[in-house]
Amino acid sequence: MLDRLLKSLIYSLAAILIAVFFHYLGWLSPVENLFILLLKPLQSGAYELSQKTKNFSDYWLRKRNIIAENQKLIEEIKQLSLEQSKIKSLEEENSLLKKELNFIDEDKKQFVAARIITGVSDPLSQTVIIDRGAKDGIVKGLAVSADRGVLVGKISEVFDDYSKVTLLSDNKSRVAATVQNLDHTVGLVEGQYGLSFAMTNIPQNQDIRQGDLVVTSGLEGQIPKDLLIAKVESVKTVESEIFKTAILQPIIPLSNLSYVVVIIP
Amino acid sequence: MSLLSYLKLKNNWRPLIVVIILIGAVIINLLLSGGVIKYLAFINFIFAALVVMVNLRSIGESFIFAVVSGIILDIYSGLPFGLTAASLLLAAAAMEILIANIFSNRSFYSLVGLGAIGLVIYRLIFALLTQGLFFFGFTDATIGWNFWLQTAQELILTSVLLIVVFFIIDRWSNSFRPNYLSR
Repeated sequence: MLDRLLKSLIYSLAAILIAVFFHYLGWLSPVENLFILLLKPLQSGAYELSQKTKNFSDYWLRKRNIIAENQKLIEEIKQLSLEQSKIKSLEEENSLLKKELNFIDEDKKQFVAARIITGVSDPLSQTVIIDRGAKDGIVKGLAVSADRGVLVGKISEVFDDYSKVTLLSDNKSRVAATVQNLDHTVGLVEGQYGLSFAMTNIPQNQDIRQGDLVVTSGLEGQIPKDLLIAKVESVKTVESEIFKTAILQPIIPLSNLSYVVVIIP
Repeated sequence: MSLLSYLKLKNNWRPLIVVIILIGAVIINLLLSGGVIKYLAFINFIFAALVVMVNLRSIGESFIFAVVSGIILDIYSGLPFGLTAASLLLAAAAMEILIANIFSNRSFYSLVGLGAIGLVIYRLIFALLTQGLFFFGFTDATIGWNFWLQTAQELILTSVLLIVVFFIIDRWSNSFRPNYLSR
C-alpha cells in the first residue's frame, strides 16, 4: 500500500511542479483566463448577492447607531460645504493664474472602470479579481481607486480579460504616501495581516495628529500623486525606536467594494 | 421508481454522479470563498469532498481530485501558485496513511475524526509551506494569529458539513455501513 501511495504522491507532486512551471512561463494563462471567464457569471452573481446580504445584515446590526451617525454626518456636511466653497474659489483662481502663465496641463490620466467578480480563495490574501485585463490596457502596479479619488489597492497580476487587485489591507501591500500635515511627512502605507493598514517609517520628529489625511506621494511611477488613502486614527510611538507608526482608518470599507476604477497615468 | 433509486441500481452512472458532485463542490467552494460573508467562506467544501474521496475511493482518484481542485483554487489565490494544491495533496496523503492504519472507512466517528485531523494537518502544511516560501523570499504573506483563529472556525464548520454529508451518503448508499449490514 505504501509503495502505491508513494508512487501516486510522486506523480502528483510532479504534476503540480509542471503546472507551477507552466504558470510562471505564462503558458497556463489562456487556461486560467478561460476558467475565470466560464465561472464569471456565477461568481459575479454570488459576489453581488453576498454584498447585498452583508449590507442588509449590517443595517439591522447597526440600526441603533445609525441615527447618531446621521446627526454627526449632517454636521460634517455643513463643515465640508464651507470647505468646498473655499476650494472652488481657489480652483477658479488657480485656473485663471495657470491661463495667464500659459501653464501646460499634464494631468492626462485615463480611467478604466471595472467590476469586482470575486474575492480570492486563500485565507492569507486580501485580493479581488476585476473584469478588466491586458486587453483594456491594464498593467501590473497600476493604482486602483474607488470612484476616482480614494486608493483601494494596486494591480498585482494581469490576464487577458481579468486582473487581480491587491487591496491596501493585504500583508503584501506597500504604497509610498504623504501625510497632509505641516511637515508633509513621507512614509510607507503597509497592510496589517488583512485587518487594517498602517503608515510606517515615520521619523520620530514628525508631527502627526489624529484625523490627518494620508495621500499617495507620487514617488511610485505608476501611482498618481494625491490619491486619498486613509485618515490617521492613532500614532504609536516607542521612544527607543527611530521611526514611529500611524494606525490608519480607511476612508471607505474595503470589504464593501463592487466597482472600482483603474488609473492609467 | 424514483430517480435516485434508479441511479442507485445503475452502477455505471455512479462515476458520472461522483464527478458532477466533485465539480459542484469546487464551484460552491469558489463562490463562497470569494464572497464577503466570512462564515460561509470557512466551510471548506473541497476539503469535505476530499475526506469522502479518501474514505470511499482509491488513492489515485483522491490524489487527482486534490491536485485538480488545488490548482483551480490556486488560480484564484493571491499566494504563490501551487501552494494550495501541494498542501491539499500532502494532506490527502496523510489521510490515506491514517485511514490505512488507524481509522475505518465504515464509521461516522471515523469520517468526522479523520476530517478534523486532516483539516488540521492541511492547515499546518499550508502554514509551513507559506512560512518556507516567506523565508526564501517568494511571498510577503506570513502566518499570524488570525490564521489559527480561521483554522478553528473552519474546523468547526467543515466538521458540521461532514456530519451532514455522512447522513446524506448513508441515506442513499451502503458505502459507510459495515459489511454485515450491507445488503
